[in-house]
Amino acid sequence: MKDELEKFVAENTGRFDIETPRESSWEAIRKGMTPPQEKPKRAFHFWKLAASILLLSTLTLSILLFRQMKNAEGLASLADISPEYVQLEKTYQQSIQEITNRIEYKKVDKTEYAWLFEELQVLEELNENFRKDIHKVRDKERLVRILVDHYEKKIKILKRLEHEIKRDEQKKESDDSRV
Amino acid sequence: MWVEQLKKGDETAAYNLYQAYSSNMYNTLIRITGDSDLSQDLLQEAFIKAFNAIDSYRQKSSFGSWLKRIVVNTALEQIRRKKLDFTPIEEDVVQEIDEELSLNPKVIHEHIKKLPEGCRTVLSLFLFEDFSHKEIAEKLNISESTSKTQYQRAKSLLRIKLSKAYYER
Repeated sequence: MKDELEKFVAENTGRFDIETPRESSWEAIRKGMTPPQEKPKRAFHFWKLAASILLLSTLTLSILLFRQMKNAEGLASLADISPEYVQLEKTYQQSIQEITNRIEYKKVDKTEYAWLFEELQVLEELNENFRKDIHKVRDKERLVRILVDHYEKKIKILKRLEHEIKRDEQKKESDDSRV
Repeated sequence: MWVEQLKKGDETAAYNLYQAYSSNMYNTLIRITGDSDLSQDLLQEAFIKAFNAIDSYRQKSSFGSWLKRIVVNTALEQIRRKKLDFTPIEEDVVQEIDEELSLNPKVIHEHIKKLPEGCRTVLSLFLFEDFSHKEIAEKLNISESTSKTQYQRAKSLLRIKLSKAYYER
């Protein structure tokens, strides 16, 4: 139950804008703003554009295929360490899949939740580097711990993302109902 | 409308948005950090971040909520860089006070600024920004129970100050 102070704050939120920022703030912000990218006034010749796209696509595809081949050699999973971990890994992957389906992962605006996507990216990079060097680790138990830890951290971040999305949706609904 | 104009590069729209939201965001930062000068820098940093990322604002939430999240995260990034001091709660602080309180926004604001840093941040996030203790715990890398006790500590300290302010009127 809210006490007197909590009630007062909740009922008077608009009255707590006591201090005013310095006038010079705006000037500093204005200087820090990046002007929007100007769109080219005239379109390229179509053949130039088509050739560039073709070249770029070929290059990107080649790099991706090369990386995939390279990674496939070094990457390992829990199942590679011991068959008894197959089910465990499956469970983790299932949980990840379920959360990503629930939040429609591909449609989530990455800039809105940048801090979480950054954490996910760092986690993936660490995991990828570790899996490349997996043959150097002789201690099986340590390997399992690291891989399990990776899955658990990933699930935790994804759950956090799901929670933030829900929270924003609720806030938006409450904002809309107030209008 | 200002948001759409800003997306097209209209500086006046940016200025209008700044005028509309800067005071609220500035006071939010002061309540979280307790430092007016630092809040001034963080305010500029947050507005620059928001304006430069305006194309990514998809209007899923109101502009104010979107901007507030950037502002709060900017403050929390700053806070995480230094280790916050969460002084344990003293017994004499938790006692319930049944005295009258000076419930005046300006007085409350001034006393929030003077609260010890760890509990002030928790109080500001919980009381003013609608964060749950679970969310505060995750953001500040503390336990949920620490968040709860620090909130009680901040509230008790604040109540003592507000009670004194009431009788000194």
